[in-house]
Amino acid sequence: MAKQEWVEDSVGLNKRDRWIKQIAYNLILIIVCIAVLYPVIWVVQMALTPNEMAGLGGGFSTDKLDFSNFEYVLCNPDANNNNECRFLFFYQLKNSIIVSAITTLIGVLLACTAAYGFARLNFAGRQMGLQAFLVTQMFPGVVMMIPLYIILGKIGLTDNVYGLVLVYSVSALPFCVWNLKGYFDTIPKELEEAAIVDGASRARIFVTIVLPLARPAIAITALFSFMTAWNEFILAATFMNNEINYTLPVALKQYIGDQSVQYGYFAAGAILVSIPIMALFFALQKHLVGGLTAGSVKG
Amino acid sequence: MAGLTLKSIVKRYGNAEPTLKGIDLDIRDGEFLVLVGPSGCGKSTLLRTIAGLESITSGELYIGDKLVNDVHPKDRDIAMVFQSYALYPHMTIRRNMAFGLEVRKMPKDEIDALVAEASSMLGLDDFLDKLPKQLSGGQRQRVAMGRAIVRRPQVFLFDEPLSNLDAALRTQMRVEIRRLHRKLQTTIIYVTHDQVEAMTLADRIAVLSGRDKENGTKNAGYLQQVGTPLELFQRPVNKFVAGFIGSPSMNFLDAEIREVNGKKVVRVDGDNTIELDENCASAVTSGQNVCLGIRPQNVQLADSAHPANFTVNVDVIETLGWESHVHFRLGEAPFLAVLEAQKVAHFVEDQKVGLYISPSVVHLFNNDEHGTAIAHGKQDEKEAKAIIDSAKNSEE
Repeated sequence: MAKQEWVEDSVGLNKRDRWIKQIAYNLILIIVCIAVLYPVIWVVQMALTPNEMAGLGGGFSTDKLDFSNFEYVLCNPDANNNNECRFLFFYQLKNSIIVSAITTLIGVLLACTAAYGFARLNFAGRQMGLQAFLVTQMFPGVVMMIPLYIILGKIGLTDNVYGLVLVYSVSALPFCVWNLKGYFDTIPKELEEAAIVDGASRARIFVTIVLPLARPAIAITALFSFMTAWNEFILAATFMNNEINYTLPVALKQYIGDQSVQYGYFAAGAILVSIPIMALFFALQKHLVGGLTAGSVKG
Repeated sequence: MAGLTLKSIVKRYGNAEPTLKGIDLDIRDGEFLVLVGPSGCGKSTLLRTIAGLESITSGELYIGDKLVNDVHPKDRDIAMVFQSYALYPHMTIRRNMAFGLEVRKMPKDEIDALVAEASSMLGLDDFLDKLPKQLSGGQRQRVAMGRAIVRRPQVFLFDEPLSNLDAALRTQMRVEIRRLHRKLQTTIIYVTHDQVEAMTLADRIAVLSGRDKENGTKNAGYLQQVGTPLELFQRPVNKFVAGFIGSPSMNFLDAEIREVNGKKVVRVDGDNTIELDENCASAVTSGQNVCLGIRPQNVQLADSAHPANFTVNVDVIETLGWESHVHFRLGEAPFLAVLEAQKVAHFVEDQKVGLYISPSVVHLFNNDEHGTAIAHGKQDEKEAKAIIDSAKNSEE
C-alpha cells in the first residue's frame, strides 16, 4: 500500500514538473516569437496605413485597413501621363522570377554533378578545385562588380536579365557545390557499390540512387540559390539601367528617396516581394527531412 | 556457375605495403569457400578485388575460363552481399530485389517471377512492399541475399554478412545460408573473421594472415593455408593457422625433444613429458627445441587408465554450463583446458592437478618466427570432428 502511494506521488510530481517545464518553454517561445515577428507586424501595419500617414513611429493600431499602398505598387502610376498604370511591378516580378528560377536551375544542375564528382571521383586537381571554390567565397560580390560590369558589357549583357543570371549562377555555384558535396559524402558508398555490382552505370546510379537520397540537400541548395538571386540588390542595381529590366529589390529602392521615404509603398512592396519566397519555402519544406538513408546500411 | 582461379594476386594502395601479397587460389565450381583471417588481413579487399570494386595491382583473376582483371563488375556475373546490407533505402523491398534485373532490361513478368521465387525462398513475401527501414536486421540481410539470388549469378560473394546480427539470429542465418547453397549449388566466396562461422559453413577454408604487433603489416595479406575445416583443425601448416582455427585457441608451449628409454618425448618445463607417436617421433631429433601445440579440448584429467604426464596449477575456472574453461599455470606459462564442469567443480586456486595428454593430439611447430608445423599426432578423425562440433556449439 505504501509503495502504491509513493508511485502515485512520484507520478504526480513528475506530471507537475512536466507542466512547469512546458509552460516555461512556451513562455520563452512566445517572447522569442514576439521579438522576431515584431518587425514583420510593423511592416504589415505600415503597408496597411495610407502612405501619407505611414511612418516609423506607427504602432499596431489599424482602425481602418487601407490597401491603397498595394494598389499603388501594383499599378505604379505614371505621374507624367495622367497617372496611368504602368504595371511595372509585374515586369519586375517577371524579371525576378526569370533570374531566380534560371539561376536556381543552373546552380542546382551544375552543383549536383560537380559535387558528385568531387565527392566520389578521384581526378587530378580535385583538392585544388575544391579549395579554389572556397577562395572565391572569401571575397564579397561587390569586389568583382567592376570586372563583371566590363565583362557583361563586352558580351552585351548589361541591362539584361540573362546577364544577371550568368553572374548569380557563377557566384552561387561554389557554395552550392560545397553544400551538396558535404551531403553526398554522407551517403554510404556501399549503396553505389551494390548498384555497380547490380550492373548500373555511374549515370544511372547518380540519377536513381544518389539524387533521390540527396533530396533534402538539393532542396536547401535550390532555396539558397533562389533566395540569393531574388534578394540581391547591389549588382542588379549596377547592371540594370532601364526600369522595365529592374528586379524587385531594385524596384523597391525607388521608394527610398534622398529627400523622403515612402514607407507605405515600401512596406507594401516588401510584402509582395516576400510572398514568392514564402511560397517556395512552403513548397520545399516537405523535402527538408532527415533520415532518408535510414535502413540502407547498418549504422 | 563457375569456378575461380586467382594467380599471384597483388593489391597495393599507393606506395604502401601491399594489402594482398600474391594470392594463389583455386576455387572449384559450386564450392563454398570461406576466406577467414583477423581484422586487417585483406580478406575483404580480396573479395572486393574479385567483385571488381578494387583493381588488381598485379596477377590474374579468372572466373571460369575468362580473364576478368579488366572486366567491369557488371560483366563479371557475380552478386555480392555486403556487411552493411547496402539496401536502397528509398526503394521498396520488391524494387531492391528487382533493381539488378531492371538494369539488365529483363521483361517485367520475368522479373516478377524471379522476385517472387526468391522472396518465397527467403520468407520475404509479406515485406515486398515495405521499405528497408521498416524491417529488422535479419530481414534486411535476407533482402540483401534475395537481391543477390534473383540475379542467378555464377558466383556469390558474401562480405561478413552476419557480423551485424545478434548471436541467435546469426546462428539462424548461418543455417539459411548453408541451406541456400545446397539448393542453388552456386560457387560462394564468403568472408568472415569468425572462425566458427568458417568451420560451420565452409567446404574449404582459406586462412589469410593478419598484421601483428611486432611486424605490423609485414606478415599480413599472405594466404597461409587452404583446406577443409577438418584439415585445418588437424593439420595446421603453422602456428598462425593453429592458433586461429579452433575455439578456444590452441595452447603453445616452448618444449624440447628428448630421448627416454629409446623413445622420443617432448618435454616442457621440467618433468612434463609426452611420449611422441610415430608421426611426430619420425620428424624430430633429440635435443631439438620446438613449440608444442595442444588444443584445450584435447586435455584430459589424469586417472588410473591415463596416468598424469603434465602437472599444472589451477588459476581461474570459467564455468560455461556443461563444460568449464580451466586456466592452469604450467610453470610461468598459461595453459587452458576445456573440461567437464562437474569434474572440476571442486578445484581451488593453486591446486596441483595431474593432466593426461595423448600423444595423438600433439602438434609440433618450429620454434621460430614462422612457426612452421613439423608434425602432428595421429589424431582420430571422429574425435577431431567432435571437438569442432563442440566448439561450434559452445560459440552458439
